[in-house]
Amino acid sequence: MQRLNIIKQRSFNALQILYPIYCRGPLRVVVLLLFFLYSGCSRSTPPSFPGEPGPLAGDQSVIQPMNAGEEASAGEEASAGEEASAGEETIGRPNSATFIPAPATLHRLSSTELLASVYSVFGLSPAVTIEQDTSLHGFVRVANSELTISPLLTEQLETLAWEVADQLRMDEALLSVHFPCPLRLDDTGEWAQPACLRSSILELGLMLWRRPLEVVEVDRLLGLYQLLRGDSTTRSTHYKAVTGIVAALLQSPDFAFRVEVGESTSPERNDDPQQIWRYTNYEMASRLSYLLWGTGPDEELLSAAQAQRLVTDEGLRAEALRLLDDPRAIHRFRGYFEELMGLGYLETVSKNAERFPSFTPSLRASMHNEVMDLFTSVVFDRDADFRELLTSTESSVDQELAELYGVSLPQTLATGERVSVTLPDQYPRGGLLGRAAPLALFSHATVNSPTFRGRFIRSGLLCQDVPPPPEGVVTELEDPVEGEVQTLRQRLERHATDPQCAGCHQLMDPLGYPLERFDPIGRWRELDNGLPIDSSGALDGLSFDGAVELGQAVADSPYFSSCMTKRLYRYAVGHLEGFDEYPLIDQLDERFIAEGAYRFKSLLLSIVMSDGFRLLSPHQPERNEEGQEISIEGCGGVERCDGEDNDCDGEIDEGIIRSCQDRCDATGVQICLDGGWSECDIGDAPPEVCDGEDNDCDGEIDESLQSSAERCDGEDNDCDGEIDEEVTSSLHDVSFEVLSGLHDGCRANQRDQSSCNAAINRYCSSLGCGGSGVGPIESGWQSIVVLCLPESMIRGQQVSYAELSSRHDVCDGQREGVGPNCNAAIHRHCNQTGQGTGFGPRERSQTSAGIACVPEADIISTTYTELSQQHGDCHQGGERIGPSCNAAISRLCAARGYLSGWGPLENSGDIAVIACVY
Amino acid sequence: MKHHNKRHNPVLSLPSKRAPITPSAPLSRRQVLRGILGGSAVSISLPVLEGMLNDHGDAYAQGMPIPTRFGLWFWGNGVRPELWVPQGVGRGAEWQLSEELAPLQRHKSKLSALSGYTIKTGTHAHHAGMTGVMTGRPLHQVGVTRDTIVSTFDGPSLDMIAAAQLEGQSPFRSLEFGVTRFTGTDEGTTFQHLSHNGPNNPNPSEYSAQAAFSRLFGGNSNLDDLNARRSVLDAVMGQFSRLKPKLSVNDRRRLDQHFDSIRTLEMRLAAEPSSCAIPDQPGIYPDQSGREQIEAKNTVMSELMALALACDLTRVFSMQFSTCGSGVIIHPAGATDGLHRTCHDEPMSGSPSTQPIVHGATVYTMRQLSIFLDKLNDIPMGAGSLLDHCAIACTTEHTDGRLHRYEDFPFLIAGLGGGRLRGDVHHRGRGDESITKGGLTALRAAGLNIPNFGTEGGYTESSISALEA
Repeated sequence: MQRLNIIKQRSFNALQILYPIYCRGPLRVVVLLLFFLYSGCSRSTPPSFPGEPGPLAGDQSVIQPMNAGEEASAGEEASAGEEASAGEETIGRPNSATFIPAPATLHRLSSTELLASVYSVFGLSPAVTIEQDTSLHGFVRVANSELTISPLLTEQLETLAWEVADQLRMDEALLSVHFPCPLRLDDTGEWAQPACLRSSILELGLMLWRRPLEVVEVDRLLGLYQLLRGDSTTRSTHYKAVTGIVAALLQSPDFAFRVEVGESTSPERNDDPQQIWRYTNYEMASRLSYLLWGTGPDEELLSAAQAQRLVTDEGLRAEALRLLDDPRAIHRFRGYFEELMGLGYLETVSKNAERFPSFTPSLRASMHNEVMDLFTSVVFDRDADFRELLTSTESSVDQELAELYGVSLPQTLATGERVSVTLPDQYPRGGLLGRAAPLALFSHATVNSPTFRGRFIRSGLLCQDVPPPPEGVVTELEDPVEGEVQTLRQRLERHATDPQCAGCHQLMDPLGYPLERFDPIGRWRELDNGLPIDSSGALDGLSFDGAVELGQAVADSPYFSSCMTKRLYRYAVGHLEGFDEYPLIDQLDERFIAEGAYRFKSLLLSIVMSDGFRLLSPHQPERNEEGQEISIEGCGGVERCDGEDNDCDGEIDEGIIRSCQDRCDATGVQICLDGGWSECDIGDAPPEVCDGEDNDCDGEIDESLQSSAERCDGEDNDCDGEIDEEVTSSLHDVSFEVLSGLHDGCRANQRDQSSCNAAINRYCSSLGCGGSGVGPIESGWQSIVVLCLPESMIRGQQVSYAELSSRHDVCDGQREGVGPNCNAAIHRHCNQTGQGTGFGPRERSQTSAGIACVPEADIISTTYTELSQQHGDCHQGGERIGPSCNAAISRLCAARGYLSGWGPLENSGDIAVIACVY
Repeated sequence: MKHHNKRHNPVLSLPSKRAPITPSAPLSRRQVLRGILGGSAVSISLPVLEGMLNDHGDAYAQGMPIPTRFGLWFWGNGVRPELWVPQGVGRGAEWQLSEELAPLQRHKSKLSALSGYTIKTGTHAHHAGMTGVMTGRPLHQVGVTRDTIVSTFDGPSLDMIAAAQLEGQSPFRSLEFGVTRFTGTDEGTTFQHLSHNGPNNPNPSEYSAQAAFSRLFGGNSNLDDLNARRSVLDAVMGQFSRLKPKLSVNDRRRLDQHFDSIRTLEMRLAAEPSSCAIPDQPGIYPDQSGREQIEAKNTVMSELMALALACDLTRVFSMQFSTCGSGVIIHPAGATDGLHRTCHDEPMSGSPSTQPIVHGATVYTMRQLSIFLDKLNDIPMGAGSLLDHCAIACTTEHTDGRLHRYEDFPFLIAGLGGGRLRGDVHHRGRGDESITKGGLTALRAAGLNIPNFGTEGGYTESSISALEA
């Protein structure tokens, strides 16, 4: 009690200023506690502190077990570091002379991080409203380690997820980037291979959840695919089901939260409470990329995580430097500086419309940009001493701001145009503090506020908080005496004389007075209320005059660098720093000054390399009174397949799916129904192959294979023990990977018909039975189906384009070398030479084409009306010739008992002539 | 070609069954409609409810009462107490509206006014009043690095207490709208948001009329596959159980809150789609000559909320006219500075001695409340209007923004609570009684079974019977 009384007499002022010095070690807690007991402001001079260690004792007692940035030695030293004896003053808190890492935390993504993450993975910018971010302790990043996802944001995330899913569904090319699985066609519909889907989910999951998915998680998503697909076998349901997977990935807490759990660096010492925990490689990848880029890790960073490089000094440093060297880092830290300066609030600031008609939204935006540009210049363009922010006279202005600043420009700037200028000497503004944005932000609507301006400097830039006025205090100033003209400063005189006000206001007002030459929107003024302005001020005993000297004084204050270190640390780690992190922050500040020469990027790098960014304290399991871990299952917990409503959501066994093996070891899914499991649904059964086994698991061996036709593929298709005997034509699903290897111009994203014809020809003739082929019969994203004809069925020949163009105009190798006219020309050439019909050119030169006539092909006259039944896009007024008609023709041939076919050989009006082969 | 004999197994479209509805759970309006109309799919343009009412017009046919809606209407920085407290105590002609309450004259018969109550859960400027009136608890301080307090709510706000009991009966668990654009300062969620589920778990207000419109009536076309959306949400909920065991106790709580939101959304999708008539798109309200269009914005947000209530899209709502400690410039009252600053800087003058601009701002604010109440009162419902079937707690975070006082805490209940409130009453407490009694009265007026409200000095089990029918 005695001590309490003594300390309570101490000046608040002194407490504030001395706090950072002597509040290290055991005293810190006492002093802080007193802070809260002591809410007023007194002006009395602090007495000495009898019986207490001197101000620097705390400093000397700091044990420094870890050099910031040297992770390798962290383990031993931290565990070896003795905690100083806890005196009565510690009030149950651990001594914070030793750095103790913060506990693992769940970090919510901000609205910009959510949208940036979607953009990074999909390249999409869906127009979806996301609720405004909340800022706590100065930063949205910090708030997001404390806030959860509100019901509104939950809805908005759902909308976002489905908007992305929908855009993917509408864009086959983009969808195929993420789900490249070829769809296999059979007469039950179109199927994707489960194994391929599984790998797509793993890859996309890695990007969106920023860690490898576990098998069960993939199984659940595959189960969702089956559920969404249901009985339908159409391509569009497939699209809907895969995009449903995307919607689920995006709505999962693993996407919207950065989940950090950490790992022990010495898992073998599992019971040792002193063991050191660190963030895992993948957690580090996200910590780095969200800090430096505001979005999820790119592939390179994920590779570094996979290679375990992000828990090593060299690996982490290399990646941090790589990310810092990217324009995204500039954008990210402009955002940091915006929050540090509170510039976001500028948007909500209103000024007295009569007095300040020039304070338009565009001027507000320009002020905002000027300050951000100054930051970019000092920190990124020049990598200069960070304190230049407070002293530099460089600026970037547009026309409106130039007028506000009295900068004369050689010519009028176009709207939105900005130029770099040096601010004129006759209106000395100095650096940041004399710029319009903070001046307008920390003023009232009609008059200046030296108090607000000073408080921003004191608490925002020097990290010395000033309490609000106590309850019941009258805060308005007395009316000026009638007829007496006063400056604002003179009216505020009571702040310095009334003891109730002075304790706190003397911390603020003298830092605001030097800015009195700037009005509430930051314009230079010579007079206030018609009177000359007194712009003298003081900071911690140092007197000065005007904005330039103020900026220099703040830049020179040791509290400025320590404050900037503290703020950047807070932002980087994404939580409000705890007492146990102060020793590390102090070391980082020393390093910022001594080794970093006050360069922002060096500070950022040493924070990233420090234990504060890389180590954590594992959370303790919840225990009951007997010390047993409390299970978190039960209501609100996990729904189990037991016929009970375990999570109390009014539904029983909802959404529970597990993977299973059916009796032939195929992987399928089971759905929980009323406490039991459904039959194992393997969906797409594997095909029966000629191997004496029941591959498709229908109880029969090699059934129906004997009726298959032998194809030229080196396999025993008809299961008669002979290979490629009496081969007929055959269909093959060939990937573009293969085709482009055969001819470079035939690629998934560049399907040059001439090149593909050549590639198909080469593919078919390489099968071992010679021959050639035509296609695409069916087109997939990554593969096409081609029709191969054995050598025995074709008559290959070289025909000049002169010959072909005589059969059908236009097919002269110049105007058309491959296409509808040449189809007809080739058909006519074969037909008129008694060789049925044909296709090609298989290969071509400028002057001639290699074609294949097929005497055995049946020439069938059909109609587009009929073809459109087979493929809706092939109709008289539609495609007529192309991939959809190719598919329609092949299907029509198949419907008539043939294997496949091609065409149209000729077409006119609704009539289409096609070729079918067995 | 290979023919597959084996087909895809049929998968049930709803792989779950509903838990039985407990007998005490009230039937939803939609269930009632289905009962009346034999389950056939019908689309009804609402609000047209009279046809479904009983002969007295006070309940649906089959005896279901018209539901009561619970709401909040909040403004920041208090009032001028000397011109706020009504004259006279009692009912009807026994009391008259004060100067500041005068804009509410046309709603007097549906108004319950309180004086003589105070905040009993702390004294910290703004923070203690905001958290005290909304949660009945002391403020919940966040972090200890600043003595300028960063605080949040220690428990659910009044509206979320109501939502916990009313959820599932309408598509939206609750709706939160904001009006003036000053969205708070960095002193914690207390200074930014009105509605809270718990500490650091606010329900931010929607400030954009257009965004509010599209949320209520937008009918996003790619979201029309409700079964797919529900299946995906089910799968997402499954993922929570994998994550949760890895987290700290505090993070589990945060995750649980998010889980609850997803569950609520999933339940909403399970409900039948809204059959409400869709109003016109609202406009946008940019500043005019640097001045915020407060009344136009308030009017459109009020209309949207009234419509949402009439269509039974929600039973719980909040209107945040301005934030706790708001810096809104009430320029129609002659203000040239933010309200918070004006409260502290404007000298007292005149007789009775007051702050004229702050007073004018309060009158203006009450006019905005009156506009909101007009919108509710204009919608016929049963024998009366929608307003009759609401209980709306209208309050602020201070009595007096100049001295940060809490005595005679401003508190009104608008609406008749479906007949549970007498209306047209001014009740005066002893002076030192907790304002939480007003909050509890409003909750009970919405037909909610709430045994007690608040903690410590704010704890109360009793509502104010003088207000109750």
